[in-house]
Amino acid sequence: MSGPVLEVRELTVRYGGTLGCDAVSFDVHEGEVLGIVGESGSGKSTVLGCCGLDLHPSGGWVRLSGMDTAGVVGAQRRRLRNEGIGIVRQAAHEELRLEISAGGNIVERLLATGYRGFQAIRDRAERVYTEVELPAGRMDAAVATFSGGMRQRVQIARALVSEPAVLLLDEPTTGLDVSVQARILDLIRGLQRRTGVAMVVVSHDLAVIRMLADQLLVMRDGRVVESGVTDRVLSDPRHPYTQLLVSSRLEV
Amino acid sequence: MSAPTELTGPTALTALTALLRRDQPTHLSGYLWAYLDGSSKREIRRALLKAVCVPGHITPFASREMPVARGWGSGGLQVTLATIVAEDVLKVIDQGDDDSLNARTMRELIADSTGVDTTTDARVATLVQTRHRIPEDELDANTVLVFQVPISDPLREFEQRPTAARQMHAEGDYAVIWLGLYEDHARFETSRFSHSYPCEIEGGYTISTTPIPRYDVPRLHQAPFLSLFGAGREAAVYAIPPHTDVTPITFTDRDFEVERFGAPCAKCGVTGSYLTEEIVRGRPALACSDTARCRRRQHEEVVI
Ligand SMILES: Nc1ncnc2c1ncn2[C@@H]1O[C@H](COP(=O)(O)OP(=O)(O)O)[C@@H](O)[C@H]1O
Ligand SMILES: [Mg+2]
Repeated sequence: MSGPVLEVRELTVRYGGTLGCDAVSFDVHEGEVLGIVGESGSGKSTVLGCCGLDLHPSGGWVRLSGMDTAGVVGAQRRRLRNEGIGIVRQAAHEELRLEISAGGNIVERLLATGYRGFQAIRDRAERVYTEVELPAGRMDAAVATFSGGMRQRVQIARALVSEPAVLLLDEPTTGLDVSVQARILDLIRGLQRRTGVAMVVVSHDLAVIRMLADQLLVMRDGRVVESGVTDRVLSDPRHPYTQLLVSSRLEV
Repeated sequence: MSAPTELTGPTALTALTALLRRDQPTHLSGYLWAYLDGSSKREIRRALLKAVCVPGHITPFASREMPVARGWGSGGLQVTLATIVAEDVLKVIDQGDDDSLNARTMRELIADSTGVDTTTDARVATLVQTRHRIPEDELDANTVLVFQVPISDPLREFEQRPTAARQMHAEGDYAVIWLGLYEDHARFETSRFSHSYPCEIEGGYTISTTPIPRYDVPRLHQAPFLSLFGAGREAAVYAIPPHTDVTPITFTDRDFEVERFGAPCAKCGVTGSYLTEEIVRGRPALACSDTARCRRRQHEEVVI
């Protein structure tokens, strides 16, 4: 058995005087899904940002498939991000170009890593486009004409097209209608099981975590207050803050 | 994509040496020779030397106020004035036409301040300043082509922040250009670039072949002549030394296609030249955009 796909140790990020996250550590293996839950401002996105190579840690380190990401800069960093990591964000416009077609958004990362055959990338885009159950015949339409739920599906297709080692999801269904949300969570779970991609999903919503995550980190004020197998943490929370979260007495 | 190429061999050196040897007189009957003062010329020449050394690299320079509006060829004009020598024979075209108002204004300004000979015959010209076209006559190593450039950066359409665009050039990150090309082929089954087609220079930087039509792009590949590009408004120059690979950005399974015109020129009857619409004998028709060559052909036909 090979080592973890994603290793995070003593990860600390400071934004000037503000602490983004403090000494966060975890491993994610192939086929595993790690959930991170916590209220707004607890540092979830900061941790995910370091895993996605958007942020540079102030302390600690992140290893991707055994490689330390700290020294990876410039073109190599871009390449690693395009080939090794898939990202789905809450705000689709932060990840997608709305004026570009769904297909274009999906193939962009392939183009960035040197794919130069039109038909080959087109076929690959069609395959993932169908896999995420987007409507047939709309692949060449601009993403701006897509609904919120469809945009999340385009993000998922874009994230998976390069067959990354790790998929990072930051509040992937927050803000969507409950029924749309349920279908997208179903899709994500199905795709994750089929591909076995290692996954980190961040959410303030325990329903999302319950549905997707095998392992769970509970964060508060930038720190991990409790961690363990999701079922155990949610059925038998030990930290008072987790108990508060689970009993829904806390507005997160 | 690899790191930008530097000096591309003996021909780039030859071009450099030739540029360096372009000694200019300082005055013409009491006025500054070639309009610009010495320090302005040195500044432009320094930028040009750098541009030739790093083919396709967009090189900034201190663009001067010129007696033509920025965006009307002030960049090309500054490059010409900084490089021209007394022995040059000058041709200036706009859209392939020596007689357009813009071309005439430029030619008069350059000729009046230098006293160089002018011509419409590309075969005898040693310095050709142009907007939109490369003369269709064969050009040799004795010619320097100066392009008037409106928008220098092929990334501009996709990335408006100059520092971000510079970073992308430095890293050879041209994914957005490929993305544009993907969109064109997916939606229109062809590329929508009618001019300024993006080209990779010697496997390094990608430039905009601005603003010449696709028809002219293959002429730049392994060309015997030196091409200098000047953008006045953007205060930037770039260059293609002689015998440099100029490769249009194209998918491996899609061909780079140049404009084709079904009809022959309505004036000289030649087929296969680049045609534009104009009024011929009172009717709209397609005629050669390279007017000097077209006129010569009409004349030759009469002689034969
Ligand atoms: N770009 C930033 N600049 C300054 N402070 C930030 C920035 N991003 C996040 N923070 C701060 O870091 C802490 C963690 O934020 P974040 O990681 O976004 O939490 P979450 O995703 O759990 O809501 C918060 O106190 C937040 O205000
Ligand atoms: Mg967040």
